[in-house]
Amino acid sequence: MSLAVLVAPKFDSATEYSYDWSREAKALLEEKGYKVIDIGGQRVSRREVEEALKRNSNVLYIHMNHGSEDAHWGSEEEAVINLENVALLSGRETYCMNCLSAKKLGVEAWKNKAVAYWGYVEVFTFTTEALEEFQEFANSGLKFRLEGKSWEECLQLAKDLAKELAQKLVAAGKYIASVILQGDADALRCYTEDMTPTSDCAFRRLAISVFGPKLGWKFPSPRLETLKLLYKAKPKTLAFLVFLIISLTVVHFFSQWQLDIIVCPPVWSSGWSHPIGRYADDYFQCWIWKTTVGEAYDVLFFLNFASFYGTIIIFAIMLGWIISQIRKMGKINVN
Amino acid sequence: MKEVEIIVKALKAEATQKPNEIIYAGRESFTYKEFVALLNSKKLQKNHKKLVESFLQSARKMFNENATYRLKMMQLAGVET
Repeated sequence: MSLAVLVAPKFDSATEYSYDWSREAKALLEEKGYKVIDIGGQRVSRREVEEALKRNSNVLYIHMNHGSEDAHWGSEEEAVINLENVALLSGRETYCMNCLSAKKLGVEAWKNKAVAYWGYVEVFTFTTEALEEFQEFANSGLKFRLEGKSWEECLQLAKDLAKELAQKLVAAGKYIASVILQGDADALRCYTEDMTPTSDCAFRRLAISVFGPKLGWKFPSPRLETLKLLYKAKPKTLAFLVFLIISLTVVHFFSQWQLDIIVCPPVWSSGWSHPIGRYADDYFQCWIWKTTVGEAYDVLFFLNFASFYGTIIIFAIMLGWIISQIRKMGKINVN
Repeated sequence: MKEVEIIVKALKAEATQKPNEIIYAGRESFTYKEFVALLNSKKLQKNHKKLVESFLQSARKMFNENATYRLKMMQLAGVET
C-alpha cells in the first residue's frame, strides 16, 4: 500500500480553510488506496513532521498551511520544514498548498534531488466568495497526479482549470475572486528533473544559461537586497575590504601614471641616449616625493606589480567571504 | 481613463456591493473594501505593495486577454464601451 504524509495544521482563520481543503485531499488519496499519515487539525511540531518523514522515506508529502519563501509552517512560531531540514524532501514528491515556498525552499528541495515539488512563488490568496473554486484549484494537481498524469501534465491541467474557473467567476460577477484565482495559477510552479526552476534574478539566469540548471543553481545569487543585509550585518568587514580594493586600485593607477611620466620623455622627445648612458641618477619629482628616476622606477614598478595582484587577491577574498556569508544568512533564515 | 483606473473603479464598485466577503492573503485578511483601499493607496508596506502589484498585474492581464472581463469592468466603472 502506498503511503502519504499529510501535514495540515490549524491555528487561525486562514488555516481553518486550508484544513478543510486538506480533508478533500485526504479523501482523494484514500480513494486511490493510499494510507495517509494525517498530521494536523491543530498546531503541529517540527519533531512530529520530521519523525514521520524520517520513518517513511520517499513517500508523498503534502503540506497545506502557511508557507514562506524558505519554510512550511506548523504553527505561528515553528517551521516544520525549512532550509535546515530540506534534505528530508530528497527522493520524494512534495505537494504544497502554501504561500511562496516554491521560491526558495522548493528550489532547495529540487537541488536536494526531490522527485517533484509543487508549490507557489507568490502568496497564495483566496476569497470567501469563491471557496469551492479555490479548493478545487488547490487540490487539482494532486487529483490529476492520482489519476496517473505526469507532473508536467498536472501543471498544465491545473493552469487550464484555473482559466476555466476564473471565467466561471467572471460570469458569476465575482471579479475580484477571478483575478485572485488567476494570480494563484500564475504563481504555481512544479519542479522536477525535466521542469527545472527558473529565476527572476539576471545573474542566476545568466549562470543557468551558461552552465545549465544543475550547476547554475549552485552559484549563490548576489541580490542587492542580500548585499544590503550583509552590509547591515557586517559593515566594518565589508567596508574594510572595499576600502582595500579601492586603495590598491588607486595605487595601481598612480604608479602607472608616474611610470608613464618616467618613460615618456626618452620615448617621445630626447630618446634613449644619455650623456652618461643612463637616467637613473637624474632628478625626478614623483608627486610630493623628491627622488631620482632610478629610485622612483623601482618603487613604482613594485607598487604597480603588488597592487595589481593585491587587488585580484583581495577581490577573490571578498567574493569568497560574501558567498560564505550569504550561505550562512540563508541557513539562519534572514529572508 | 487608463486601464488600471477602470479596473480599480470597477472593483471598488464590486467591493461596495459585497461588504462581508474576505480576502485571505497568507497570514493577513482584508475585507473587499480594505483591499480596494490598498489598490488606491500610494504609501504601502513592502508586503502589501507586492500583493497589490501582483493583483494589478493579474487584473491587467485579464483585462487585456479576456473580453468578457474587460466588458464587465468597463460597465462597472461606468465607462462607455
